[in-house]
Amino acid sequence: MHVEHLFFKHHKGDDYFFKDLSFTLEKGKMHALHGKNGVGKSVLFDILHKTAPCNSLFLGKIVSEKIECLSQQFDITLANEFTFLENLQCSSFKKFPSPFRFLKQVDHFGSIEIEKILLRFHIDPTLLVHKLSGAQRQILALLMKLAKKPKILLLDEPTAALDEENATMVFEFLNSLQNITLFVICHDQKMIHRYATGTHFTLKKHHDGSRILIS
Amino acid sequence: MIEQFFILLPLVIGAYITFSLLKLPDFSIESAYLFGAVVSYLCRNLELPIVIFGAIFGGVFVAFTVSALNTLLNIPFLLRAIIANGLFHGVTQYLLGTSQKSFHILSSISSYTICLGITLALILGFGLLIYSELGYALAIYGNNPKFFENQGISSKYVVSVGLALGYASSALSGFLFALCNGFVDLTMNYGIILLCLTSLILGKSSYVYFFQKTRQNLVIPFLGLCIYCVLQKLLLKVGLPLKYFNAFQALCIVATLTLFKKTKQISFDHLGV
Repeated sequence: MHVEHLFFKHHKGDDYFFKDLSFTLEKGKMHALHGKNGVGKSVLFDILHKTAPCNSLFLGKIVSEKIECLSQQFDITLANEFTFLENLQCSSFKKFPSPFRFLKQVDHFGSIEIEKILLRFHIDPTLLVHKLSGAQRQILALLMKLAKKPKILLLDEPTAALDEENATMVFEFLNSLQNITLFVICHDQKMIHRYATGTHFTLKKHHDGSRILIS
Repeated sequence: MIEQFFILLPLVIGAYITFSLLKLPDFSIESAYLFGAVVSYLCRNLELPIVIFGAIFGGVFVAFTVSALNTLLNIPFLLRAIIANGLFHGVTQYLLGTSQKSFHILSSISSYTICLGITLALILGFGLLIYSELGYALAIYGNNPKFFENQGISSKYVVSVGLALGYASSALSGFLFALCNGFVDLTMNYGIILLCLTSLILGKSSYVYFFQKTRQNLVIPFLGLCIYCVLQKLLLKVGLPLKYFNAFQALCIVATLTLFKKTKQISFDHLGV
């Protein structure tokens, strides 16, 4: 992914929030983004994922393959009264679910073998989602995003609501993903240094109010 | 009682789709029930399949009107259901001319056979549909509508098709009622919401109690309506006047909810179903 000369304003009359940001994410690696609360990390992800508000102003060039983004509130993406497996199966529905097709067996998403994931992270696929641990729910939310076969995955604080054991489990899962570029917002420096093999970025507020990205 | 069961089962199945699966406050199902009967009345001099198709068309038309009120004007569901009820009350009055019309079709097939055929076809159709992709999508929408936003699935499509299926089923029930009673009446849809809710709450409570499952299943409306009809028959046997039956249904809902909430065996959502 290449971002070249990115300029961004929340509203047309505002000062620039991002001024001339340029960076590259190396393919297949986990890149980290950190910075203080409110500095604009999630805003940057919205721009990269092309979900910034329509009344904002965006200039610049983003060259990337298919992107998916998982927000901090990953729980809202899951159907709690359904099992892990049903959530996975339903995530591969097309835009208009058919009354003539039944749920398909899900063996793998691209190179990810579901059976291996279930064994490695001790997940019972027949359990209802609300009975799974936080890390298992996060892994499910990630798998559902991976069902769309993205090349780049943006993760906004994927372990914010998890304890250390569960956070390690999620990072272990992310680490096992191959051929996917990950860009992760994370405040946990220990996890970042252990798992993020790509560039580490810090987003800071410049004295003129705009944000600068330091790698 | 059996004939009444076959008349009402399509209605309760329709309500199950919209109330229990989609979790919509679906009061315009009353309009679909009446409008189905009215459209089939308008087609009464044609062949039986066309009369049946007319009833289905009536239900689907109400469903798409309700959906359009949301899509075009972004009106919240409860309000659009109320608007649709008002709208279709006027339309049915205009189409019928008077408040009651006698209703007989040309077909020589007995009304009981038609009831049985339609109900069995619906059980088979919805029994399969409920486990299809669309069936799961309907149930997931009721559990978490945001699921679709994140998965790129069209929630408007799921709601519109769910409503169309539910309302078509209810409209067929309206047609069967008119056929078996020999008339279409402007007030024939009064109180059917209460009937649907009573059956669904009884069905869900007993299904969860006996089978320990909460998943979507056509056994719920079937079981609920069975219990409802048996209760109704018992009350008539002991001499309860029919005019108090609505009050009894309301009490029945309160009693079921209280009983199962106290024992914490079943959780009921905002619609109680």
